[in-house]
Amino acid sequence: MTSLELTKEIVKLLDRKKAEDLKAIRVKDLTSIGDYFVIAGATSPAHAKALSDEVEEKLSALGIEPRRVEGYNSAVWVLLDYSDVLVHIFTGETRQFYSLDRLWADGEPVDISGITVE
Amino acid sequence: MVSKAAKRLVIGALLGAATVTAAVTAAWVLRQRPEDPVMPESSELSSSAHGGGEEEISLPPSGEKVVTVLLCGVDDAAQLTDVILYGRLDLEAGTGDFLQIPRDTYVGEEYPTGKINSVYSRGDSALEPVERLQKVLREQYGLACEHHLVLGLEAFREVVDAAGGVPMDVPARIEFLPGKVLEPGPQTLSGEQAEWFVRYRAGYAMGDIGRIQAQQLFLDAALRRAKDLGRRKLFSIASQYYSRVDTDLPLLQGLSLANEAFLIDPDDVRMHLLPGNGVMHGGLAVYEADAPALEELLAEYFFPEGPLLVPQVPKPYIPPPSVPSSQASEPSEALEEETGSDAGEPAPEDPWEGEERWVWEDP
Repeated sequence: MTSLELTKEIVKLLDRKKAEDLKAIRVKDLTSIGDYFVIAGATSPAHAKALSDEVEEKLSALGIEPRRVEGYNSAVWVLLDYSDVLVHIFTGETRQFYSLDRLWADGEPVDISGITVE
Repeated sequence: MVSKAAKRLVIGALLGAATVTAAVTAAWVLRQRPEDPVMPESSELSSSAHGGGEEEISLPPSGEKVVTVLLCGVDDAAQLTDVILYGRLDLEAGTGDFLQIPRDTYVGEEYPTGKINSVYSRGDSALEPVERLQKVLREQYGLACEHHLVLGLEAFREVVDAAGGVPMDVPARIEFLPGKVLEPGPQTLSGEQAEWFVRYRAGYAMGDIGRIQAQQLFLDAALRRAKDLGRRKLFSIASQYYSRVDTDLPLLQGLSLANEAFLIDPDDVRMHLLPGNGVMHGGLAVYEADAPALEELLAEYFFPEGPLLVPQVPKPYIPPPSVPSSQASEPSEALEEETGSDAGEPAPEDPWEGEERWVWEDP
């Protein structure tokens, strides 16, 4: 699976579990690690954990394990490191309140409109 | 000891800068981190209105006033902490102090080489690697660290590249290995070149101390680079590499601290080398900390409110010159006499005083 395919797969998994404000960004040229970021919102810590679990379980079934999982216990900002793809899951208003999306404003948005069900 | 380069040292964003600097190399910690704190519902946003023109990043206030942190660089293979920096940032006063601890600092016979760089991988097995080192620093030097950040070589190289390299003036020709050469002069070091620069020591008359001074230069250059990148780019890199470093800080808290540390004036950041002397011990060159000088340094820069502990620096057993070297490594009784509250006692005569015969080894 290419990193773009992995990105889209992750977006699909998150969308099915009702992740909010999903975005995928291509960061390949900005940094030597990771090709893509997926950014998702959760309505609560429990939701964030469910989203994180969903991604981990489904990818594990495909033989893809994360390199690291960070922030799972408090689930304010969960980070799943799949080497070529980093997944950021934010709970509640953290992301909007602090305009964290601006961290990745240099990246190129990936069109995921065909994958997500609004 | 404060170098001129150190006076220009820029802390910039702590976490972002730390991931860019040479002085920290990471170790891998697999799976999950300790509990992250619940974020407060604060409506107070720390001002990020610095540097014209860059997009604003808002971050919550860190809630900390004085931050102590252990920054370590680890080689990926042997897990030796070849770079150890203890930092104290006073976010209110806007000052920073870093204590550089040489990798060859003698810490006791219970460690395989007696050197501090082996504590991380070979210390107390009941503790996590970084906790082993924190414990030694607390017990022997009276240093308490709230936070830690450990970076490995591979991550270090990648972070330097992510920052677009680090521009600096290389002071002298460096041949790290055949074919891996840096010529003197201004240039931008790639990740790989930065590794050569911070690891090189063969040509320095003072061995590891020469390398520490080189690392100071690199740290200064890297933090200036971090400042030039700006907060948004810096924090972006930090968020990308967060999972590649070992730290106790949750990402958002780390970014908040970095955001506040970015305000520190470079003139108010100081680097200090652990006071001490080189001695030969069991055929290896070690660095013995100078307890009285260390106490003074700590009192002035790190613990203005009063010391945490009196440093309990172990002295390596140095046999008298007539004793054959094969008997030199039975130190336990001699060490027990030497350690303890001996800060006020005269130091035993050092048979190696004045000698600079440092045989640097890679144990």
